[in-house]
Amino acid sequence: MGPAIAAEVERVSGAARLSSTLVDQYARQALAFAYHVLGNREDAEDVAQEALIRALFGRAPFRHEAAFSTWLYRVVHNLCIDRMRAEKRAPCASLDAQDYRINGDAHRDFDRVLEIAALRQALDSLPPAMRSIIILRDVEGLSYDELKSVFRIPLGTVKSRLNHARRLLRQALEAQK
Amino acid sequence: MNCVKAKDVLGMYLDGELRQRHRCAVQEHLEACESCRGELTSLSSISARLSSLPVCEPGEAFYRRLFQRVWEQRQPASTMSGRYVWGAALAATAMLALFLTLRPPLEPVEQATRPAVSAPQMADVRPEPPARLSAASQLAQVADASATQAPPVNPSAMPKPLTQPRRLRVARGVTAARAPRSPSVEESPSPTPQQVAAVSEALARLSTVAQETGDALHRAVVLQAKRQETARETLESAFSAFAVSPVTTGEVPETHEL
Repeated sequence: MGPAIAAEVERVSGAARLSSTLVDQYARQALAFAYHVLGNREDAEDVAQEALIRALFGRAPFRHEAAFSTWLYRVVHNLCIDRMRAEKRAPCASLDAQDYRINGDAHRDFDRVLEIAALRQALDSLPPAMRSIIILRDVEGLSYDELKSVFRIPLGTVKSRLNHARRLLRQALEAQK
Repeated sequence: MNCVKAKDVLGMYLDGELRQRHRCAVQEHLEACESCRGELTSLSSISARLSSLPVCEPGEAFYRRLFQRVWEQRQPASTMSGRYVWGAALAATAMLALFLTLRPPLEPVEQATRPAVSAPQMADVRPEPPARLSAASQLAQVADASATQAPPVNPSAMPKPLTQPRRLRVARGVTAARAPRSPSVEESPSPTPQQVAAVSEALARLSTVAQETGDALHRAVVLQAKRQETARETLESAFSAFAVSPVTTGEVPETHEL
């Protein structure tokens, strides 16, 4: 295991058993964030796995300047941007029933799918940096200080970028009506 | 506080990131401004909708693929051989470049014009070769012998063989083809002791560099092997909670249990 997660394991408890819990926790964290940014399960899994491998084998530098989870978010964010640039296409929202948690109630399921599709479309219209910051704040619940560490930008820029992202998202949602 | 300022900080107000003084000012403004209250409601609604987005959770296929990629990453053979090959290629290129720089033009194998170098003259710079030579020492001796045959003092003064074998002419390329032919066979001048000493010193440095390069490569390979072994042991303990049997053959486990 790379020095990044090994150091994190040691910092948290030093118990070898906990490392598997950490791997699971970070896998969930990386996959959830990548999925919200990319909107596609297949691409999100690929990005999350790549981020975890970089963590395990220490390819990307983890300098203990911030929490490991913050560092992992930054790696996932950069990988998502690389993926979007490489493919040069808009994110393709997944239509997997498992992702939408369809439970068999046709009317509620239909409304739920429409709601998610609208949000997904509005998110996809945002620039990648705006999309990431609003997801990390409103979905993942990161604080402003954590956002500052993830994107390596000043606190004032975090505030203005988040404000701008919310304004853009609201305009995109209103444009759908 | 006016509406413009209030709308700029409504997001921070919603996130609880405003200081007490500013928070009170925004609250006072919200009580008096219906437009800003609507804006706050809208922001709050969007945040709530975003937080209700479905979460993508890793399934069994995700972990299986992750394990597979992890095992692929820790293949020690390919990693080490790649580094070793690149390092060895670099060292070989450096040695070849130095050798080609030092050596004089090739001559026919039939060394009828081999210069007479007395044994006592060479004894102080080159010892008797052992029975089994290493590659570096063989290279050094070849370069040494070539240098003593015809030191490249002046290209125009270099001896040119009258009948050069076709294979050598082709190998030497354009330079050899354009070289003016000598009217007759001339004897190569004997190297001066200073030239012999300079070549020997350069070869000694070459041997030292080759030895150091080899040592560095060896250390790198050993270090990489240790890192791979540490990674394997830690990964196995890390993933032990998934009841994955330790992989010793590089194959991906078929199933695992949470």
